Amino acid sequence: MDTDSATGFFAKTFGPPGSDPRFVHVESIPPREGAYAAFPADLDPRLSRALRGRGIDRLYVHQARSFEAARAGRNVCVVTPTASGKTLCYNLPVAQALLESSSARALYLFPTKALSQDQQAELNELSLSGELPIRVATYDGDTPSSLRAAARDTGRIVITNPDMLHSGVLPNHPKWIKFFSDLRYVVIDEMHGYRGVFGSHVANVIRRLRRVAAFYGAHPSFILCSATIGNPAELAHRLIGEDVELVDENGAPSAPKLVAFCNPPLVDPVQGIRKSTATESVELALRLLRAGIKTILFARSRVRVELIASYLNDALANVWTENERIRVEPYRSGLLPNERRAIEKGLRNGDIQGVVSTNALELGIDIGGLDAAVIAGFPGSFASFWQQAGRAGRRAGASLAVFVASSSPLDQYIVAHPDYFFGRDPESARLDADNPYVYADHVKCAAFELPFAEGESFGPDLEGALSFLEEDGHVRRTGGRWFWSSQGYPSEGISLRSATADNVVIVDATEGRDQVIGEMDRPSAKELIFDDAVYIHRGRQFVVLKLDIENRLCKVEEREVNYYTDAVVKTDLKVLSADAEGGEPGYAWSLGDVLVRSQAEKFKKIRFHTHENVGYGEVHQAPEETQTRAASLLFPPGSAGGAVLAKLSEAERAAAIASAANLVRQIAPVFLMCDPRDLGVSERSRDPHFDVPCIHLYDRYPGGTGLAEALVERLPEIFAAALERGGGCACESGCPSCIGVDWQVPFAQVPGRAVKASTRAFLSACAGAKRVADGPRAGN
Amino acid sequence: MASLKDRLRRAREIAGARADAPCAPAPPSGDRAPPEGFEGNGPGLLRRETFFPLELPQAWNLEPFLPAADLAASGDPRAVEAGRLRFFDLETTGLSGGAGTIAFLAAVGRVVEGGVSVRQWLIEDWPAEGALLAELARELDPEAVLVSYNGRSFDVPLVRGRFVMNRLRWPERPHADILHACRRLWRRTLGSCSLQALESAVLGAERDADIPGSEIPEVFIAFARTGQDERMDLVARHNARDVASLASLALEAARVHEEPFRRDDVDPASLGLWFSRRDAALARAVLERGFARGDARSGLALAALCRREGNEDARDAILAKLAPTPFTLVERAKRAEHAFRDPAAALALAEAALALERRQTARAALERRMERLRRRLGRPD
Repeated sequence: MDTDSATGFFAKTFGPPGSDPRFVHVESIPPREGAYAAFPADLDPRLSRALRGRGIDRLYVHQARSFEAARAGRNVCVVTPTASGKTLCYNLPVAQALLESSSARALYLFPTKALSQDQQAELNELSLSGELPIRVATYDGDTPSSLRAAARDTGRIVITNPDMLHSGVLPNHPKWIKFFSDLRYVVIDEMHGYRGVFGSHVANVIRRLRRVAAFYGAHPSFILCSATIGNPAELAHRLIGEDVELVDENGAPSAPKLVAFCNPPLVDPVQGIRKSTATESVELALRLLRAGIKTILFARSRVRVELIASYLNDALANVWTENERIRVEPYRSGLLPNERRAIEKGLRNGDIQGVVSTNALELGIDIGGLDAAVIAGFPGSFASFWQQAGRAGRRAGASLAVFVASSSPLDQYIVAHPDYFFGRDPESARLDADNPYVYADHVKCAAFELPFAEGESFGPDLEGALSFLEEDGHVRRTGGRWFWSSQGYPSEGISLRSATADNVVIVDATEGRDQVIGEMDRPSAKELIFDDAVYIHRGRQFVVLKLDIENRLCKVEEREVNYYTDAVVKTDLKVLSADAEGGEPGYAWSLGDVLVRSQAEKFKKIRFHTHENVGYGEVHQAPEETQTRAASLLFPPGSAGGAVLAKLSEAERAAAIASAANLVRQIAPVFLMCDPRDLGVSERSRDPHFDVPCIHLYDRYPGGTGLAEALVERLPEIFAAALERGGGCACESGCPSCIGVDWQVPFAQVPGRAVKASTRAFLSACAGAKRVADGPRAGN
Repeated sequence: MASLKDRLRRAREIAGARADAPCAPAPPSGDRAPPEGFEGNGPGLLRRETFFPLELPQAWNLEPFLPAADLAASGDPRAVEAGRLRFFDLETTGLSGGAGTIAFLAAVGRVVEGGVSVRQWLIEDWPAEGALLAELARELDPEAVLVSYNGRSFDVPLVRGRFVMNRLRWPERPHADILHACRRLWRRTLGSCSLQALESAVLGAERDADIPGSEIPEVFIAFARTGQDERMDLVARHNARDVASLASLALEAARVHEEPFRRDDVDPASLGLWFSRRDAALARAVLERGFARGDARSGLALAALCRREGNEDARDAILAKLAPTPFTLVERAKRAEHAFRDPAAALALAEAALALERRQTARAALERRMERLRRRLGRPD
């Protein structure tokens, strides 16, 4: 392979540029020279020896800068792409501190257990090769209780996750006295994952961590690492509550890279149906693999991952070279930990040449370098896209990322507007550490951990939260302090994540095997492994005998079938109560409880390869119901917004509401400091409960986390911002940055230009016409 | 924007929950009616002393209870001077532990002339906890040996944390937790091994009025808030009584470990196993008696003892007498194959074992064994 030139690399597989019409755009990303720095003068000789032992005799500039800042006791936030030597940014200053003081300790936080294990392996390698006297211990839900005391007492670096810190470590801090007394550094990797409501929780866990450490006299500094996002320093500040020094110049060299957009050919030009993304991606991946190019293929769901991996392996199977064929593995959540480890290892040492993955491999799991990435369908965010594309590319050697567009409007827009795509900044990540519900929950946990002294400072309104908790009898104010005065163990009832941890275990019951082969979270299980569903596990096909939700058990039997199953899921929203109402001249709103119900009612049987529908079946599962809080935006005819809608045709009205909802969905998170995924949106041109056009915005966390309440207070600003974005966008007939393109599918008969105009009229009525007339963008 | 507290309140109203009636601050100590027998012992702390008449020896055998690490520190563990013992028990604000759970009532019993004298300290409210801990530390002079029921897993880790949080140092002392020895003796024969259950079944003592342990935390929470709660009398009595029973039970359990035939309600197999690492002759006597009375576990333990002593013939005899299980059959099959060179008998035993075995891996191992035996016998499958 011609490793010097990305173009050569591409041409070798797909022919010279322009020869294959599927590749509608090929963007060349030039190579970058490395920027290096010598080992810091004060670097412990044992560390420099250990580094040289691994073939490292100088640092990248970002590593050197992180070292310097962390050594000076400043908080550091490092932004680095994949494979740029991120771990040394924190391992070096931490190891240095731990070598200088034989009692110093460090805490490493990783979002998942899998990442913790990776990191422990890497640290062990670093410390063993130089024989550094630093004990590294993992402390998470999988740590056997026999090892926990040793981890607490002798672990110089303790690796854990926010959930364990929240419910296991902090509530038992007296057992960690030695650890907390000498806590010098806290490392937070994959910081970009701590956003939205989850991030708000973690920010409060960090408040508690600081408070407990301070009780033992420790004031650790923080080293945070993030993938590229729009606002790393801001997110770091919100997460740890202090300023950070941003290190964002990347000193790692990178080889040239090509990002190619592939638009599968139209098979039915009249209806605009294109060749399937899966089929096209398989074909591209096969070409790459057969050319000896290590390839990762990203697909959007677990089922697709298994399906595509099976197609690839079927195509690569060769009776003549039974054991020498190219090996491809699926990688997704629900595999057993040892299976995941085996796949990661196989990828690193070259036994496995191809992998098909969900976004599970976006995270920093070490799988070594790959040469090409095929991205089957836009992953939902630009940050995700670049992380997936970043999986291809070693330090030396050209790499290739191919985006295979689906026929969704968003994907089609991207392939039609590459300039928009390559010119866009990555999304910003937000969290709100002062969300009252999240905050009050953690004040509760913190009171359990240590009594609060009057006048102590902790978060936005400690006195307010404590006196609220006193009304419920959770704390008691006496003798100048607030004591936890309840029986429970508060962190037990407070989950940092919306997804519940109660997994369904998948058991292979073929011929009495009775063996656990995987697991799946409960809501997904109802949609994926219902009775008679086909479950594919690393290419083996199983048919579900019985899904027993109550006992969290799913029995499957291995069986050869020629189809897979796809549930038809219906989601509906039912308004349960209206607790508060209000409005402006432009619109009205109602705040209340809603029931969001999703149910798989039937399933399709879809034949492998041809994807034709070969039958239906019934699903008999109780619906997955979430009661939560919603802000319902109402547009009755008497309101200015409703009046605009009333003048439109039915199709135009539906399109205008859909595109306004799309704008609000994009904009509201900015004002609520949440993640777009924390908010659900459901719009109707006539809502069955309110009997008027309506946009429901609901909290995706069961019970609500205050997003709906905060939303109604910010509505005037949100509408004004939506108008500015929708009205001010320079595009001609709508783009993903303004009114979106999703409305195009159901309302294809309405021209985009008209939708844009009516959406703008509708939003300016909602925002208050006066403001618009005076606004700088009027007349645009 | 509404205040944080108002927003939280509104959310609570919507959720349909109501706040408890706002609680009045606790009345000052002077206005409280302390529970029966308690007197002031400094600000917010109450104390009382109760005497329980018991016949107790001057030297105690703690060997069955002390872990090896504590043995060296305590002098001769088989004759610990009664004056050193501190029987202790705590009542706490929660049962699941963690930094927010505190000890509000502590009892320490000492052996005195004619019985046990139990001192108790009770706090009126949270801030007095440090004073209680300081009193507790004073009881644990350097010669003291702790005796507890489940104190190793519950009371001591908790109180150690409380000391840390009050910036005090917990005085580490040798600690005889009698729970494990009691489980050894009585779990299989009596079932529940809670202190109350053994008090009744082993000591034959009955309590008149008592309060279930699970209700104790809420009594203190109400007591601290309102200044009094009549149930606190029951809690204090429960706590003192636990300590007195602990002394009697420790004595009885220690004696059974010296005179194993003293009682009929102990589990011979577990006791025999304990002896087998100390006194083989006594172990044999206990296990033989258990086996003679039909206890299969005693038989198995006896078989293991025979093997350790190199007496395979005696072991064979015991295995043959035991009701057939996959284990005894496989062991006999091994002997038939390797010692007696009788593959036919070994095959028959293995077949019988397979008929009883249900575990997959063990079945597979048996099938391999049978296949090998068949080959040796020259028989096809």
